[in-house]
Amino acid sequence: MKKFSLLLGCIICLLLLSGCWDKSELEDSTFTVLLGIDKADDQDIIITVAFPLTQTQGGGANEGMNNGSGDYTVMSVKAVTVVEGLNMLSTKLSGPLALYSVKTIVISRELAENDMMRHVFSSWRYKEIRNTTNVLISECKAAEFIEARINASPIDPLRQEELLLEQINDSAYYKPVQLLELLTSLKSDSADGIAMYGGLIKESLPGEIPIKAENKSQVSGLAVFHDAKIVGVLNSSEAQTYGMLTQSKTKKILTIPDPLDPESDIVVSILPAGKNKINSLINNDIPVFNIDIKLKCTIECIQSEIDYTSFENYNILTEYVKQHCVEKMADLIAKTQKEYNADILKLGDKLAYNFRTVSEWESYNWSEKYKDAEINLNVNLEIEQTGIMIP
Amino acid sequence: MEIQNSVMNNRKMFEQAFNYPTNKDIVFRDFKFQGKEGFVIYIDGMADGDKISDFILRPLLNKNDFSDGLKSVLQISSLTEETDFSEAVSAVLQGDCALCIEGDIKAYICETKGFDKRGVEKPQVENSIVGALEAFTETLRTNTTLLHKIIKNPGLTTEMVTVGKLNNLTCGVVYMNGIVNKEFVEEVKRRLKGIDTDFAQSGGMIEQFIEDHGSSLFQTVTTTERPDNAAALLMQGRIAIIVDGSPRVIIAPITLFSILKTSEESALRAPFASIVRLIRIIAVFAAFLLPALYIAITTFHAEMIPASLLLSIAKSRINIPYPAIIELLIMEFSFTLIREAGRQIPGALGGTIGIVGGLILGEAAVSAGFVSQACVIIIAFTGLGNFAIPQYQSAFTAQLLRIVFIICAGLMGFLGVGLAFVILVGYVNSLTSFGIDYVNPVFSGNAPMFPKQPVWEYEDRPSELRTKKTQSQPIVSRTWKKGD
Amino acid sequence: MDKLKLRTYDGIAVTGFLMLPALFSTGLSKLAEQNNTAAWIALLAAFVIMLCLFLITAPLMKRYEGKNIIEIISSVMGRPFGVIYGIALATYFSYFTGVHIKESVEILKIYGYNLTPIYIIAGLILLTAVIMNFYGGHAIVKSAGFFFVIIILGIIFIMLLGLNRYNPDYLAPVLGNGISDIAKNSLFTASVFDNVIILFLFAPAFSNTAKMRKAGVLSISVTAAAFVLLYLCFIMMFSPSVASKMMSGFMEMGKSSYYNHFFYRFESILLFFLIFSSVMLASIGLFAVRESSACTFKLKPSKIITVICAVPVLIATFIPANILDLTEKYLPVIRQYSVFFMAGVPLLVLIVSTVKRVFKYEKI
Repeated sequence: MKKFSLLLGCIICLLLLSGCWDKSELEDSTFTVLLGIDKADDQDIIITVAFPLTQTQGGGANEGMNNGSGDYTVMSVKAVTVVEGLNMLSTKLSGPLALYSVKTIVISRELAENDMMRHVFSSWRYKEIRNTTNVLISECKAAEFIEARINASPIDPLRQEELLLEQINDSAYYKPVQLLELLTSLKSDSADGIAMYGGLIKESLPGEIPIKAENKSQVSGLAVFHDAKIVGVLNSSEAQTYGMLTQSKTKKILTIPDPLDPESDIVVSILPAGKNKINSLINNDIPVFNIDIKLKCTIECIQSEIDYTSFENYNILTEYVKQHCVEKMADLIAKTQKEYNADILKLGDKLAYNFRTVSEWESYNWSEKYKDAEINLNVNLEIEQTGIMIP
Repeated sequence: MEIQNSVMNNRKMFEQAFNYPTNKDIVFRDFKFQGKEGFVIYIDGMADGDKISDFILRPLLNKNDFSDGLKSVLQISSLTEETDFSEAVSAVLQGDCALCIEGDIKAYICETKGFDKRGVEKPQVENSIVGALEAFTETLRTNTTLLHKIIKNPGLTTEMVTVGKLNNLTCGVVYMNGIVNKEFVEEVKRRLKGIDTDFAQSGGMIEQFIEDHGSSLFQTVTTTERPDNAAALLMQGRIAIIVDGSPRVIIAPITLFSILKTSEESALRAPFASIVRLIRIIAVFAAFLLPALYIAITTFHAEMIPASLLLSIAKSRINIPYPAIIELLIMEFSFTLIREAGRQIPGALGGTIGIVGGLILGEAAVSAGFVSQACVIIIAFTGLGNFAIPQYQSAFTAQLLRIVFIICAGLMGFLGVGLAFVILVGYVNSLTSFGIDYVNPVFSGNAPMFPKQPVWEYEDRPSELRTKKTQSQPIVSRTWKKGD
Repeated sequence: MDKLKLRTYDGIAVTGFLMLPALFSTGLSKLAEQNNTAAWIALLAAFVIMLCLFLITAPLMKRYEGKNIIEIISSVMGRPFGVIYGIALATYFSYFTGVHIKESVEILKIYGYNLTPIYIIAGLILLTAVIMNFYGGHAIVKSAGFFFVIIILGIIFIMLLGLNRYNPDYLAPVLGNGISDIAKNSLFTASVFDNVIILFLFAPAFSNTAKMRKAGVLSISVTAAAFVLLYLCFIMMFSPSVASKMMSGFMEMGKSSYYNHFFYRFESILLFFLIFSSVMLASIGLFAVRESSACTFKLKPSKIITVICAVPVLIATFIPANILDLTEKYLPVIRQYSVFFMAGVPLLVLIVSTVKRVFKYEKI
């Protein structure tokens, strides 16, 4: 009995020291923050990863978190598939590549126009990549975008990417989209997907926001997909309109001309005021949608200092803002129908209620019918707040 | 053997039994009474010499009228007649004195106990802020007195059982007649009488002898050094075993949550007591699960850690030369060593050494790169959780379980911890304490562990004790309150 | 078993653990594959079918109060049939336990333990089950009661986690593949709930058969509610086309929830629920094997019997060669066709017993 206990104790010590099959020490792993996929010249792809260096010099005790980007590095490899590329990268690192900390997957537009599904989404089977990572399509090469984003970033890149997903900066010029959402809409017959769009400022980005800063990377706009390929891009103002249509919770700031003084502008911010009501019916095989949208508006700035307190002027302003919004929304819907044929408002899901079984719905062939659909908007807008001053 | 007629023979028997005159502890005081020879035998130091002189010898030697017999002569408060020699010897050993007279086949046992004993002091371990501050002592009679002071009821019964063939340790089995289920009393007495050993040293040994599972990880009887605690448990229908020479009274039967409850909670208001209990439950889980979860998360399941924390832990661990589990075991061992050393060092120095040692060791080890800061924090929380367990023996339970869980976590991560936890739950559920289940439900039942009910809602006694009187207070306990 | 005493809640927990682990593994995605959006209707219909079958066959136990199903078959149809049924039941439970252990091991390997060999994980789970059986039936039953609360809380937790991601539009069209398809699948889906019949094996442990019936009804209801609600949440989170492709719906639901950067990494905590459910299922399954073999061969359950009964379970664990075999060949036996054996035999015995009584072939 004593010998047996001794033997058992030795085996346990051996296992504890050398590690079991799945054990990996935390300090040996490499935590990837950004993952980029580019198209190479032939059929291959280029994988880029950005990760912090934990092997800094000094005793382990007194180093805190390093701020700024000084300790991050970017590495690329050319491979045939994503999984293989990640594996090849591990040869250059001191420990296993940990993908559970990836915050954003950046895919270049070139790749998205061709065979994105084959590369990226088949690797969704790979368990390491979380469904909650952001997806961003970049105008330029993903490697360049990642490098620009990591270097000269004002706060720690890890935190920056986390905050990107939460849209803490409260702007509606883009919408963070997670991998799961994109995948679900790509696999579905009844709706189409969107992804974040970004790039470097020096390029001619659609709807580019001309900020002068050391960090040249920017996220603005939305990429539109249909049939697993990118078919177009919404610029930042169209992305705002999309936010209005889908009742996203961020503030949308619009600058519109003053109705009573066309030389000056009024700045308003639009917020959702309740859920959309979408009624759908089929009229002679043509789908008809009646969308009721409720919005509420806050006046942020009146340049002309016209007195809008009188009821007449107030109503004029409300009507004008509403008309402006309706026009923008109608333009966007027409664009998605005629130009892109991409149902990014997910109206197909609502139409499915009119069918009883899945086979009936599939035989209806919604993707062909979207461009002919009749979409009626009924917008109800109220000016709720006027800032700290009476208008 | 019986007491004999002849006082010479009796004296010879006593001398032989006590190895007199080699044994200088024994004192024989001869006298003549009504012309008959007699002697008093007692142990020097155990019996009070003043009582013997004033209330036994003086009346014997002074009184002239002896017509009413010895019982009217001796002025001692307790006088029994004994015919069995071994009982007489046993009485002398307790501190009484035995009186033999020529022609009388009985020995007169007089109550003359007068040995030195410690006074009633404050509790050493079970401190209280709002409760009483008296603690049990080593003397059985003092302990029963302390119980009688709290429960002034004629039903409080003490039965005496002697344990240990050669040292004859007296144990008092105390219970509330009319509440307790007599089966438990009989079982306790049966187990005590069934102990066959030469030397029963202390309460701890008696505990191990009578427990259902003597060497199990969990104690199935509890001990307390506070009379108010013991009284509350007695009134619930449990049994107290007071062991002479041990300041801790054994309570049986118990359930798992008795270990986590203290008597001070009944002195607190219900919401505060609930918070205290909740913290204690969390502390217990922290005491044995926290290090294991830390190991499992950092080595097997690092995807659970928030990203910024990942970097901090990784950077702090970068220069540590061995795996996380070895680091944790080293820290665990050193903290246990500090605790043990602090306990052995006498007086005020002990506590100081503990604190200073912890601080210096932790700080120095981190600076030198032996351990990481995260590990020190984990071990500190674990140690605090360990101290929050009221019972001393159960703290060892938590320590042992901690080591087992750390090893399981180091081998298999969450799978190891999960499997070990299932085995632990199964093990605990298979234990019994004097025939009743060791575990009763946490959130339901008469007296749930959490949340603690207000005192006016404790209507029933614990059902597993099968008491004669199940209701301890009516539904409306505050009759002064309208509409209760 | 002569010492085992079960309350109503214990009965619910014991049967619940035999039915709920399907939720944590491939059960949800299989349902999505077969029934598309209408699986919840099929589940409700299956619940009704199984409830009726249970309530119809429960009077058989009341007629022979104090006996378990094997003894009843022996007395109604003769000892040989009793022995055959006992062996069949023991075999079924060994197969059931073994295949479930294998399924849990596969899921565990995917979601946490990629490199660990299968025999280590399966061996450890089986070892834990054997140790639990060494502690006795009483310990198993009470532990099941304790862990049942945890599992139910886990299911509620998962359903609440995904609240900001549910899209009810994914449930349209409502009737899935059509009513005839639903009707056909309901009977087979009733096999998910058929393990409530194990209560017939433990009937003497209840103080009366009314309690056993109550335990059975409540446990089917709780399980059905858990299945339906979790399935609805699963489909609302992923659409049916994505959902049918997932290995473990439960773990994926945990992986996909996100609130803010403090509150999103839950997949490893969910491993605990998986481990608890699979170990308790293994313990209870092994206990059922032990009890039915002991009752059939009139042996006293002991440690040696437990170890002997663990051997067929171990064999059953390694029969499926890979995950495809497991989900296509071996699991459907338990999740689709077992209702005919589990509920069919007591029904048959009830009919025979009634016939005998009517024609006065047996003494009442």
